[in-house]
Amino acid sequence: MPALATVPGKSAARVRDDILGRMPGTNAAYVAAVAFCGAIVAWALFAWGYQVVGGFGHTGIRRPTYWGFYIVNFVFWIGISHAGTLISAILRLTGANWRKPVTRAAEAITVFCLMIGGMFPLIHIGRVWLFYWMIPYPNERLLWPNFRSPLFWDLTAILTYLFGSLIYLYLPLIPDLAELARRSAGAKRRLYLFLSLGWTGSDRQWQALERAMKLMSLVILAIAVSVHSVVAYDFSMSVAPTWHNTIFAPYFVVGAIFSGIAALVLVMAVLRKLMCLEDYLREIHFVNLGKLLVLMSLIWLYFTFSEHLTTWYGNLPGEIRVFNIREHGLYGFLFWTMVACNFAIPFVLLGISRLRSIFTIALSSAAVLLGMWIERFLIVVPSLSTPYLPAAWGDYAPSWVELSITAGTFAAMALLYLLFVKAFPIIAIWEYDDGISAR
Amino acid sequence: MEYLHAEYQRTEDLAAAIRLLQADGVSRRALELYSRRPVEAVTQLLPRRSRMSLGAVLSAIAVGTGATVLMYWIQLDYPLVTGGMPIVSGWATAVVTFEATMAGAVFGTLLMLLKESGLVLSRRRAPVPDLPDEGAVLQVECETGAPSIRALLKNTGASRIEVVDSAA
Repeated sequence: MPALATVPGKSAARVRDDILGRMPGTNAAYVAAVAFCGAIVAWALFAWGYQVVGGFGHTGIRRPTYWGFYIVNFVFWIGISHAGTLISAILRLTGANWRKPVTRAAEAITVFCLMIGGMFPLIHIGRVWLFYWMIPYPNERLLWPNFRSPLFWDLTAILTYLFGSLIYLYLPLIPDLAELARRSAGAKRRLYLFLSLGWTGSDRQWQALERAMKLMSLVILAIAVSVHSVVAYDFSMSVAPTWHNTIFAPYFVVGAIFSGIAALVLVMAVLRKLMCLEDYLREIHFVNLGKLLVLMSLIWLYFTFSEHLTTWYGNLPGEIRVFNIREHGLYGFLFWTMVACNFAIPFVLLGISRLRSIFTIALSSAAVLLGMWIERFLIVVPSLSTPYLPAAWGDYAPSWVELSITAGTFAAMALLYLLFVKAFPIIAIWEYDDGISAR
Repeated sequence: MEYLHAEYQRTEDLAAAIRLLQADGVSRRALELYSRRPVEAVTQLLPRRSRMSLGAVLSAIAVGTGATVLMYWIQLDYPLVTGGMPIVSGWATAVVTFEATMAGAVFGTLLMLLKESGLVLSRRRAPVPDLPDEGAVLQVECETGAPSIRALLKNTGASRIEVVDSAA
């Protein structure tokens, strides 16, 4: 006869105490980590300020390569944001129990990546103080935004995704916030109480929450697919060599899910180590995600092959030039590094069961993240630096400003995560069910 | 009126108590279960009516339609010629319409959750029991006294029964 509200192996109370007990305290190591990441972020902000004051000439972005590191980073971070959607929404809808310890980490990745990725269009427009021109409001000059521009589609898609993801992260946090309020005192308690909206744990509330999460999973999935499709439309609606094709939207979505899973695995591996979550984030979670990673690697390879084969077979002068410099010209080394990182490394390390371990899965994920960043670079830069008119060809090399801002985004991701795990449990306590010992 | 708070440690006991109370004429509305985790077996015995899906769909339609109408009005108000496209085109505005529709669905779901869970806009003012570390508390709203209900709760394995006055 099952006891009420227990999980296999551990009582519910023990799980609660355990997970809440692993939230990091304000010790020297934590402060040092925050300070380190904060310093890099501060440097990136300084670099951005330098660019805002001095102008875009401080970047390496110039004719004909108008999109450089900023758009590469934009596509990369928006891609990673698909981690939360895939792991949480798809697995929630399919009733995969093993997802439960990893959903919150994934949902947090989505929100933070969107915050970071969403900054790049602002950085990229240069005159950031004119950003509000994108908002449709009747101004004195009667100028409205161009709704037919994919850049405006980006704005709406990313804002919708950010809004949806924030809600999707927040809703399952509410019961845990009430739990935190019960265990806190003073200002912290008041904050948690406020955020928990007066959650009492009644069956009406549980039923409403579960219903809302199912609905949100459906909606957020549709939004996620649309967001990366819209990011792909930025490219495929342009008449630049190799960009104007129909495969880009699904290709980008596949790449996004691929890099999202890799980011989630890496974050989980770090959290597991630093927060001693070995009891909760078990090898089987990594193995399951590793299998998904291999699957996505194969799908990515299929799309990459299809895209490149079509370009090669078409043999159009403008496109074949980009094809050649990408594969065995200036960017050849990057191209083959990308193939190694996105296919060869995960396929070997995760395909051979003897080599499969948490370490190799995390290593493969790191390789995939590097590979996917390179892929974004190879989509953006070679096509722009080698336009149809040979007289317009040019080079691109990032300046220290772009490199600093790029480094700052990775530090910002780490910083946001550090702050998040300090304030909120990284495993959804009420949802926790290891889903393994129950089998 | 008073509220009885009965604490249970086992799902079977709780389910039996709910079944017997309902057979005894206690309405679903008078029963409320409090726990730190959702109790799935009990969800089937105490299903709550929901219009969340309808709310989400209506909100999606409203926001999507509103955004589309706004775009059409703006494009007619300030005709902007872009790449030979028609001034007003369903293709060119489909993405924004879709995103607005989805934003409406998210917004509608959130509003309906707040309403149906009683987190906001709740008119129910029942006393909230302290949640036990394990187990759940069944709240029964009944006439003052109600010895038969108390006996029923005791017989179905409630580990603790508390009486709370409605004024509390």
